[in-house]
Amino acid sequence: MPNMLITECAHHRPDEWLREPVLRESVRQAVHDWVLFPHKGYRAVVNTSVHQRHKRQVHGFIVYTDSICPRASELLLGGYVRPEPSQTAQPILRELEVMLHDEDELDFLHRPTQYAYDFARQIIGASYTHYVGSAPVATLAPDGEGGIVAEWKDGRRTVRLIVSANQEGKSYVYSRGPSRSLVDYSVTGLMLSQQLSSIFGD
Amino acid sequence: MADVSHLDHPSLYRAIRTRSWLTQWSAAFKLRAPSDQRPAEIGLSVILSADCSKLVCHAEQSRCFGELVVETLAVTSRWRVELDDPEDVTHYPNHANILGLPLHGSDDLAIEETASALADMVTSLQNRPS
Repeated sequence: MPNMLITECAHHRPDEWLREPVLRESVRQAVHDWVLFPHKGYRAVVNTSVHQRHKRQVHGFIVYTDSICPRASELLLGGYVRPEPSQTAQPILRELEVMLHDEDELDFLHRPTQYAYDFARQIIGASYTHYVGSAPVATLAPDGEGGIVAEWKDGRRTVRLIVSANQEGKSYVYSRGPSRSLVDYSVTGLMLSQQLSSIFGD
Repeated sequence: MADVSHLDHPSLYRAIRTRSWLTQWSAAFKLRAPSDQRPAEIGLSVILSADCSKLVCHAEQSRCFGELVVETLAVTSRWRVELDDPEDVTHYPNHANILGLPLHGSDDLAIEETASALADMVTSLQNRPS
């Protein structure tokens, strides 16, 4: 089975690869041609035979590299382990489910509305089908009015998904990085994943 | 109404109304929309001391998991913190409001930035005695 040589690859983050057609094509070609691809400035020989089925599509490639690079780093640095990214929506979706069984107070709704639950589940579930960088485990909180706030936070770096209680309310994603903060109202799973990978991608 | 002095009250305490605020502090620092039970919040409710026991909640909450503690000076350097009006029938001497925070439904970026800023000011967390 062929081996793949991993070398410097920190020039572009995977989400940038996906948005840039020329780079996307380069990545696709690189996978097909078994050429070198970059990672973290380290060099390692990694047997890719068990991952061969993942390398035909760009998206699969992203998932594949995210999985394999920490192992390469660990081999190279003798025990170094990159912070484990939360690459699955299951923990937060389970927590979301638990919220449905909380007890409301007269002036504070602990349970999300069905609309908020469905919307949050759809957006969060969809976001984790894309690359989310090294996003930490999310926390969930009720907004007291039947809406939901999901927060990914690591130090000052923050991404929040604000889901209103009903369709008439405003839902948005807030993100805060080292140099900028913004609010985006075009909430989709892809947009959330892009914000997560942008803020926690390093 | 009088402003809270950090000399008299070095710390402010935000009651933790839901278990999820134990891990998501920013959620505790947003003003709420009006409801059938109350008008829109214009101040964020805090208490000036929190020596609660299992039976007594100084924040007078039916459900309370403890308090997020912030330094008064850090808060008053950015916002006004006002004691309850003694003439008001709902006056509670241990209670104050942080004023000047962005109202619910106003500028969403300002709301989130303010919640982040106040969450960053939290110095400790007191669990409700069990």
